[in-house]
Amino acid sequence: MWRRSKLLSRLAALAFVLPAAAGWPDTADEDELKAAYIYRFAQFTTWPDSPAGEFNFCIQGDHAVGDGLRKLQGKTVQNAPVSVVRVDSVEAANACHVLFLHFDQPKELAGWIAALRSRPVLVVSDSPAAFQEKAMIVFAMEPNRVTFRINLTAARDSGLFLSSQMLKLAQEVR
Amino acid sequence: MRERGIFLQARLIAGCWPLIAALAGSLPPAIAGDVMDRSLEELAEMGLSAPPANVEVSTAAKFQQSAARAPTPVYVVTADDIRTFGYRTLGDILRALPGLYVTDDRRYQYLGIRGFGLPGDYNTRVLILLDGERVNEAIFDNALVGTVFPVDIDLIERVEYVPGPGSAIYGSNAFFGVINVITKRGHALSGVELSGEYGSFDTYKARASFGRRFDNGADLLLSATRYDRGGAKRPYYRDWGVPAGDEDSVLGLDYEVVESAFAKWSYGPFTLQGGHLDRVTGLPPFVFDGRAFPDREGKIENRRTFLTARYDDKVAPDWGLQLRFGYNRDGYFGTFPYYGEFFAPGVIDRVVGKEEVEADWWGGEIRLTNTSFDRHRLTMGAEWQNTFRARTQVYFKDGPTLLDFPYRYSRYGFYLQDEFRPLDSLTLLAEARYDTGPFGDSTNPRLGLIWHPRDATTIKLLYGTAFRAPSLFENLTTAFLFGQPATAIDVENTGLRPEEIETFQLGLEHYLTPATRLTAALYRYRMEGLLGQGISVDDRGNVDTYFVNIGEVTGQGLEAEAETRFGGGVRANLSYSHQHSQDEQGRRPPNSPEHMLKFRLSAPFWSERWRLGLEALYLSERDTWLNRTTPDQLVGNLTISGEMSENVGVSFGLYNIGDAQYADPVNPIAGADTIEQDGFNVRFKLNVGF
Repeated sequence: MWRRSKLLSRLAALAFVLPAAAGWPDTADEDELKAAYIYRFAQFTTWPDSPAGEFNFCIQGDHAVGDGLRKLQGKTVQNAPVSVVRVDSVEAANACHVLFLHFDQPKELAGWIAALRSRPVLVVSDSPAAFQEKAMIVFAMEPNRVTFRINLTAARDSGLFLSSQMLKLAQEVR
Repeated sequence: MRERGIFLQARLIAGCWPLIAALAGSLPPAIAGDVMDRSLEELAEMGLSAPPANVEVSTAAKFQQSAARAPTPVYVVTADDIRTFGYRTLGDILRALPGLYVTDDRRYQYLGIRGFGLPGDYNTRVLILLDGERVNEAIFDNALVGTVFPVDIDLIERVEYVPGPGSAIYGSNAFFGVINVITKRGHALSGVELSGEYGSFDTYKARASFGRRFDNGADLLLSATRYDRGGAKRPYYRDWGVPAGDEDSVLGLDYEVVESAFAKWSYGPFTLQGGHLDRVTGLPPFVFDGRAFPDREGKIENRRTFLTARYDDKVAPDWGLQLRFGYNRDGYFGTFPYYGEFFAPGVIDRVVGKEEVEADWWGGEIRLTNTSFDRHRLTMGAEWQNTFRARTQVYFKDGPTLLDFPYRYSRYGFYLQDEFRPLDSLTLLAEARYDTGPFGDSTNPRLGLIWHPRDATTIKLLYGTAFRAPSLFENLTTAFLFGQPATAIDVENTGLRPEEIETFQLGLEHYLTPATRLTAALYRYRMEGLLGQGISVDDRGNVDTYFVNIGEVTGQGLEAEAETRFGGGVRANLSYSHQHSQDEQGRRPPNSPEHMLKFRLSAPFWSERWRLGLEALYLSERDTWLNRTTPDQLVGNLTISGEMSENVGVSFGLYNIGDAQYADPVNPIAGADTIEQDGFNVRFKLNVGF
């Protein structure tokens, strides 16, 4: 019995070491993953006007998603150099191309989204109330995934065009 | 009969443990490639390096929220987990969770929860929802977790389990917990999918599905399934008076055939879904005078039909509206051959008894949410159920009718909820619901305090009451025995009151390391007016059962789970539950394991396209109705699943790998109060997409 399990463990070790060499499916921190998603969303969205000057990724307040986005400094999006901006008021958000909101309170969330309605700002949020409040892209945490839903009507009303690649991967499109 | 000690079982399962050791030793460091360089498709497939605290859940408080803000720990099982661990029924999913266990009497699978799983009861102390709508039917109030569950397990997107009292928003039956089964959208399938399965006991399953999301966002899912289990090679009813050498006569008597269909359409805020399930299962032989009479006419059939429309949207600034309206039909049809000296001494005759129980009901819910007060989220809701036809018939084939009772009733519930966040680190939840119906009224509050003192720690305090109104079946049985006029059945003429439970719970979610999370709940409950069965024997010796509110039951327990993630997508999960309940005389209820230990491991295997799921479930000994004890048990399951190509998925499952011989306590039938469970068995599954 013991011999068999020893053999089994060797086989098992082999089974697990081989794929290690072949490149395992890797994992990521959730905020890193959200930042990477936001970067791709920016590439797959068309704004009514191309950015004059810098392409602004805005983060409401302080959030680890900002750390991920700051790695993009030096790159370009929509042919404009990336800038990562922290915004603390909705007035300051008018110059954003992409805005990440993480308010907990539906009321604050609704206030910012209403103030930016019909402005060409791609509003992305990870708050569970945000889909109801018509944020354009809303992250949902699964136990082992980050997924997202799209409010297509809200994006269109703001003059943004979201590519079919994004729509295809969204869990839900409204 | 081969007897295997629990220790040997452990050794056999431990045969797989070196896998873990090997794993831990050979784990590669997380691959250095920057996440920012990944394509959208790769990001969507990427796992998380730590168990997230803020998984989105919707069952704990009836709105979308982060699990960290829910008043109790919430356990979520996803379609990925169902595939990885080769789960075959809802029961398989639930038995892997802390505090839950499943009992199988080879007619149905029943759920035990927090030490409570009385054999002979029909899961009436847990509320099961399908996409938010009550599955518990209108006559027995039952919702079972085996193949009789109305939707194919392959169509489940996720299952949320919320332990603790839920009546303050859900009403009756949300007694020990609420389970919500959320179905997939058509988008999850993207085209036609054909699935075939073959397993031990001559089991086949075939499913054809179609799913698609259209350019305007509308989503459609259509699916049909047929499942056929021929039955065990070795008869499980051997102890029931089947003469040696005559075992073949009971072969395949526990067959099972299930046919089901499901459709779901959604567009914007609207969802329309419906389905049907028909399940037939054979019966063990009737035993008379120590002798078994296998009879292939004996069977039980269950049918369920449902159709539901939902609406969910923001209707004005600060106002959200949710509507649900649905129709359900549930039927139970039993054919029971009886053998005995009915007409003349010394002559064994056969009569066939029939039970037909069928109910139709409409139901709905309206819910308004208001967020206009800063830091408050107010919800008010009303729910109703109108059972416009409930018919119970008991008769003998070609013989007299014993009971033919049509009935109708309605029940209503009204609830209020306020979620208040005075501080970013503090959430208070206050809820209350009033329920009224012919079988008793009840008001139930629930109060929750969720405190987030540090980044790594959340503390959750919960107090709540819950109730279960006696079912129509329990009322009917009781009213008839006492010879009450049958025009109205209510508290007045049965004397039955709702069961009530009061629960205190302390929950904790704490990150021991960034990748290791500990979730725990410590609870204490007191039940009053537990509905128990009484037995009455009349002067001619006829035995009848009825229901009566018996005394008080108290219980306490602990559910703790540790989940950790290693590099390379390896996840491990260990849970322990301790539960102890007792009546006023200090007796433990039957079928109540004191300890449960569960382990799950999910890891990539061989290549990144293959995955291994290993599960070990330990239950300590359980008492039976006849004051015997079933030994403790350890069951291990191993599943390897993967993709042969983009459109072809396979899964190979080995269940009960140690071939543990164990039995579940059941309602006593023919002097047997336990039923042996499946030994080692396998399943092979193939999915092809087009």
